[in-house]
Amino acid sequence: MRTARQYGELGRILAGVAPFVTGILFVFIGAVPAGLPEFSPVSPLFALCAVFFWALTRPSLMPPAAVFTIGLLQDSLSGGPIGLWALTFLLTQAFTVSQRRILLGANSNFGLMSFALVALGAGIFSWMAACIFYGVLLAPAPVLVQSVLTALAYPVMAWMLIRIWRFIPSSI
Amino acid sequence: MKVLLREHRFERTAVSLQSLGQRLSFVILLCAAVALLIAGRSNSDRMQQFGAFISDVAAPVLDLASRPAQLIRSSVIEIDQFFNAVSENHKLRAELNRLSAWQAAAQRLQEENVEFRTLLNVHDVPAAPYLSARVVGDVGSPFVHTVLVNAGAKQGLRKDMPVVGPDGLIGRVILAGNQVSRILLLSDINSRIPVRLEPGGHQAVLTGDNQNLPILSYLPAQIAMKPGDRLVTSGFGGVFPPGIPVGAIAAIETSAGSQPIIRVKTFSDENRLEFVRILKFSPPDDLRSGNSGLPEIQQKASPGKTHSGPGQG
Repeated sequence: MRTARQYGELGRILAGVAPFVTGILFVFIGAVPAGLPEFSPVSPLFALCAVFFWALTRPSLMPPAAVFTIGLLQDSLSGGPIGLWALTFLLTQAFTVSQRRILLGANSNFGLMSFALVALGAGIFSWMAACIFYGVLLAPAPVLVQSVLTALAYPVMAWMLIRIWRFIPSSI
Repeated sequence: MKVLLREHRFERTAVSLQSLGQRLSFVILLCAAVALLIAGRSNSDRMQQFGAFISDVAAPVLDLASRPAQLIRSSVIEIDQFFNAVSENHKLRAELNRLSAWQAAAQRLQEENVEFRTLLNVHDVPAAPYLSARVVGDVGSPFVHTVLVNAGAKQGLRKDMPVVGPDGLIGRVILAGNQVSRILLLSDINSRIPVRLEPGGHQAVLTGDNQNLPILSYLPAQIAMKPGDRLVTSGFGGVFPPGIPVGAIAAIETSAGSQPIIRVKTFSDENRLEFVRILKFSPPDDLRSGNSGLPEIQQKASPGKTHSGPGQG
C-alpha cells in the first residue's frame, strides 16, 4: 500500500472516490447484455462484491450514502422496485462492517465462504422484500442461483479490487 | 508531549464524530430506501419515471459498455458458426427440401386469402411503422425480466408499443425515457399477452412468472392441444396487432386435482437479444378485436431508422 505523500491533491481525491467508482462500474458491468443462454435472468450481482469488499477493507471510503447511490443505480437499471437493492446493499454493508474484525482476522478461504453466506443472506432478504412488494410468492430458485453465481464471481472481482486497494493510501 | 496528546484526542473525537455521522446517515438512508419502496408500491409510475431518468443519464455509458460485449458475442457466434458449418449446411438442406413443398402451398393459400378478403371486403389492420433499436442494458434480475434499448420518446416511442424480434414477439415497452426505453419481456411476472392457439383459434392469455417458460392461462377447459401447437397474438385488448408469432406449447404439466399447467417456449430467445423492432402500433377503435392478417417480421432492418412495416397485421 502506498502513502498519501506519494500522491498529489488530485491523486488523493481519486484514491478516495475509487471504491465508490468501482461500485458504480460493477453495476454497469452487470448491466452489459451477456447474450449467454440461460444467463441473463440470474446474472451475478457484481456491485454486491464491491460493497462487501470495501466494507471489509476500507469502510470509511464506502459510506452509507455511496452504498445507497450504488443500490439506486442497480434498482434503476434493473427495472425492479426502486429502493430494493439500495436497502439490501445498505444492510449488507452494515452487517459486514459489524463483523469486520472477525472477517479480517480469518484466512482467505473463510473470507470467500463468508462472502457466499453474505450473498445468500442478501439474496434471501431481497427475495422476501420483493415478495412483499409484489404481494406474490416469487420463485426462490433464481435468487439462490444468483447468490451462487455472485459468490463464484467474487474471487475474480476481489482480485481486481485488491489491485485498486493497494493504490489507496491508508491515511485517506 | 502535550501537543501530541491534544492531537490524539482531536483525532479520536474526529473519528467518533465520523462514525456517529455514518451511523446517522445509515439510519436516514435505510428509512429513505424503505420510503422509496413504499412510494413505489403506491405510485409505481412516478417511481418508474425516476428509474427512467437515471437510465437516461446512464444511457451513454450503457451504450459504450455494451459495444465491446456485442463484438465479443458476435465473434463467439461467428466462431461457433464456422465450426458447425458442415452440420448446419446438412440441416439447412433438409429444411430447404421440406419448406419447398410448403412454399408452394403458402403461395396458393395466400392467393386464395387475398381473393376471399377482396370478396368479403375485409377491413385489415393498417401496417404499423416500426423502429429498430439495440439492446444496451440487461441487468439479470431474479425479480424482473426487462431489457433497455437505445431508443426512447425522442424517437417516437411510447408506453405499450409491441416489441418484436426476427423470430416473434419479445414483449412491450413499459417505459419510454428520452434516450432509452424499457422492454417488459414475455417471461416477466407482470407480462400478460392475449394469444390465440393454432390450430383451433382458442383465445388464452400468456402469463409470465419470472421463469424461462411462461404459462398459458385462461384457456377454456377440455381443449385438445399438444406440445408444438403454435400461439400467435390475438389482438384482443388492442395493444398488440393480431397474428404475431409468440411461441409454441413446450410442456403440459398435469397434477392430480388441479388444472394442468401449460408451459410455452417463446420463439424469441430472451437471452440473445441484440436488435429489436418496436412497432408504432395504434389500432383503430373498430379493430380492437379480431384476428385478421399476418405480420411479416422476418425482414432485417437497419438500427435507429423508422421504416414502414410491410404487412404488419
